[in-house]
Amino acid sequence: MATKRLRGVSVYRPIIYGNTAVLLDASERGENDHTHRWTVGVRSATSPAVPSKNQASQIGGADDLSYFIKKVTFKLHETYSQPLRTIEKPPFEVTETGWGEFDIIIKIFFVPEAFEKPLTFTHHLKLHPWPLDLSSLPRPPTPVLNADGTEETPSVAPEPPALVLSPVHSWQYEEVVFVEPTELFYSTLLARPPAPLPKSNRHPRTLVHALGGGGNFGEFSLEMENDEGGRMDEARKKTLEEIEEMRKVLVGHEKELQGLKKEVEEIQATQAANATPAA
Amino acid sequence: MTSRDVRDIMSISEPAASPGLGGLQAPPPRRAGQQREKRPDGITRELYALMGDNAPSLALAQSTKPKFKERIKRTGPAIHWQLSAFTNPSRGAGKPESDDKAEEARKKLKLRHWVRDLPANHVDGSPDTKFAKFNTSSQPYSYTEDEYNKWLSDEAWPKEDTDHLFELAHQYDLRFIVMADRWERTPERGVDALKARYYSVCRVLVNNRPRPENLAPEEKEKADKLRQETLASFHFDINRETERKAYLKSLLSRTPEQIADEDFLYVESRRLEQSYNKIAAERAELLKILGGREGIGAQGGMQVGVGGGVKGVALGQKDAERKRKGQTGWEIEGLNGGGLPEGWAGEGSKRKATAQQDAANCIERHPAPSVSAPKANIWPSVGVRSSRIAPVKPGVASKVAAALTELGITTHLVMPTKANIEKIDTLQASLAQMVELKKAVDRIQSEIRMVKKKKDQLLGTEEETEVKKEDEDARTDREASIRTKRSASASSTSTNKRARH
Repeated sequence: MATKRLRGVSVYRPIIYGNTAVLLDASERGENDHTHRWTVGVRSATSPAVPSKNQASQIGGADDLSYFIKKVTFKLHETYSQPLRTIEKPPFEVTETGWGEFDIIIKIFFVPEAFEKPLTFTHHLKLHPWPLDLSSLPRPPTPVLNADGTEETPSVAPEPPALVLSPVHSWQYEEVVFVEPTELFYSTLLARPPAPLPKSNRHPRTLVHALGGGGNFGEFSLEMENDEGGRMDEARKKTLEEIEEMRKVLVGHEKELQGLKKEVEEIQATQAANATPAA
Repeated sequence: MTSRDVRDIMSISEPAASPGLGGLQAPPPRRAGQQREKRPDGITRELYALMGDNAPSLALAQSTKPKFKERIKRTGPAIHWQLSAFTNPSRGAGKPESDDKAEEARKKLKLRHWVRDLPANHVDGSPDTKFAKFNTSSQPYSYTEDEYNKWLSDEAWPKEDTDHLFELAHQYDLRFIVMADRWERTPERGVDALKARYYSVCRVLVNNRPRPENLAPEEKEKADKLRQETLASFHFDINRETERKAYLKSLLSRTPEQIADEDFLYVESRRLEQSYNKIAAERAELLKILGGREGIGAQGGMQVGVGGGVKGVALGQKDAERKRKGQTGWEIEGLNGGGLPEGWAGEGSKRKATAQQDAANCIERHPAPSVSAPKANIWPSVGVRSSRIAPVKPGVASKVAAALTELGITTHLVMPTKANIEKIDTLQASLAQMVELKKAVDRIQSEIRMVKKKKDQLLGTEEETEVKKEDEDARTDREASIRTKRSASASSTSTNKRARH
């Protein structure tokens, strides 16, 4: 009975996977050359309303995921002792120190009543700050040419945005979709609805961080989703306009082609007519 | 044959031998210490002699003995063949004398052949009876004058012609093709005409000749039967035969194009037939499924859905309601007993879950599998959203990807939610449409270019007629004609050149 699946229903749970990296103090550095302390983990997508003091757990993790995740394995670089780390209890995280970036294979095993195969993700451990997207920053003021010929830069030069060296966040939002879950698992899932994503970033200004490569700041929010959707809508609108234009061009060309063909036929006909009496 | 002979033939001088002496030269004395290579088994002496002392490394390398065909070993004395003259029984040798000179000559013709082991008493010119048993005759019919007058006269066939026909039939043993070839009378008659006349005569003769009298009744019956069989064997329908030959001729005189056409049609018809059969089979299957399910449901209100069974009786009344909701009862039957929490819209209960609740619980409902799309969900049971971007058609995939990067969007989404995945799907679909449109535009542009070229060519040949007119123009207003806007086309540029001369 437990393995019977519900037809026509799928349930998803938003999760995030990724890492946070913090620079090590000089005192913390041991005899090895490790420069960062990083935490790789799988969490729920929503962040707690009050951000944690611990820099490693500022993003996500409002919900306990252990009701559908049995364990998570992290396959680290081979140079670590015991590279395959299995975490069976929440939080599903591994904290280590190191100096280099590498790919971590994350495998999520689901609770037995789900009767599902594990899911595998690959995450590139991110230690170094994201490159600044200069185009998104306010432009520096242009130098003003004074009457006497000397250039004068306005004194109120804006703060150059500080490269966020620490902490560095790299998280990927993902939705785990259970298509036609088993009845038992379905009831388990329904009993634990996930905390909804906030409408927009609730984190204070001091706590901004790049999220993934998208150049987003703060926690995962609905605004972020809408922004991305908006960008795609914009692109689609552009595409549709282009399609419309092209269709017009195509119609024009078709007409031209028809006309030309007719002309050619006429010319051929007249030539044939001219040719016959001559012959 | 030795290697020396070969050298001689190839006119290669003997190594270490004085030229001029040639074949008289004695073979160089074998050095005492030199071990003569042993001839390997399986290589003939002649071949070995050809190779000389240069024994082939390959053959020597072969550890196993190469197998050659056994030579035929002949024992006993040689066979004695003798040339002897003979006359041929098929040419009438051994038959009684006749007056016909030609026949006599044929009879006496002596040919010679080689014979093995001639008997001692053989006489040159005696008939060779070895193949005489194959000299058979078809026993053509013949008629008497009386018979002809009584039954056989025919307007189209005068007596002379008929006589000639039967003469030929006897001479060439009913080989009608030869008979038609040797036909000497006017009008010219074809093979079929000859056959028709011959067989009709035969039929008449068989029919009318009295059967031998004084026969026992069973013998009579037998004779009647035989006559019927003979009659049947002489059946010949000239119309059918000519038609058949005409058809065969048309079949054999098809051009390769026609043959290709026919082949194409044949293949096409086969294909249509096959696809029709396939569709028919699918349709039958579909009808079976539909009929099977609905038939049961309509009769007893018993559904074959999940958990039908006990509740089935009550379901009859709910059918209409269910149909209004657009649910099939296939998938959600019997869930109320499953201990599901509130919010689940099971089939017997009113649907309590609202869209909001669904959203809060992250539930999506998709159409249940139906007959038209039995597997509405092609996804595996668990997966991540970002992997569910609909694939782009492979033909345009690379171009769509390029267009996507041009727009500054990657398929690697930051927030791969359902809405965003749908958006990127539609975006990719419209991009694919754009790419295909672009292709179409390119195609039509190149077509326009081609047609223009053709037009220019056509105008180029028409030049002569136009030139006269243009020349007049040139005389009256030369500059205007040079500046004429028609200079864009090839024909008018050439006319301009002429005008300037």
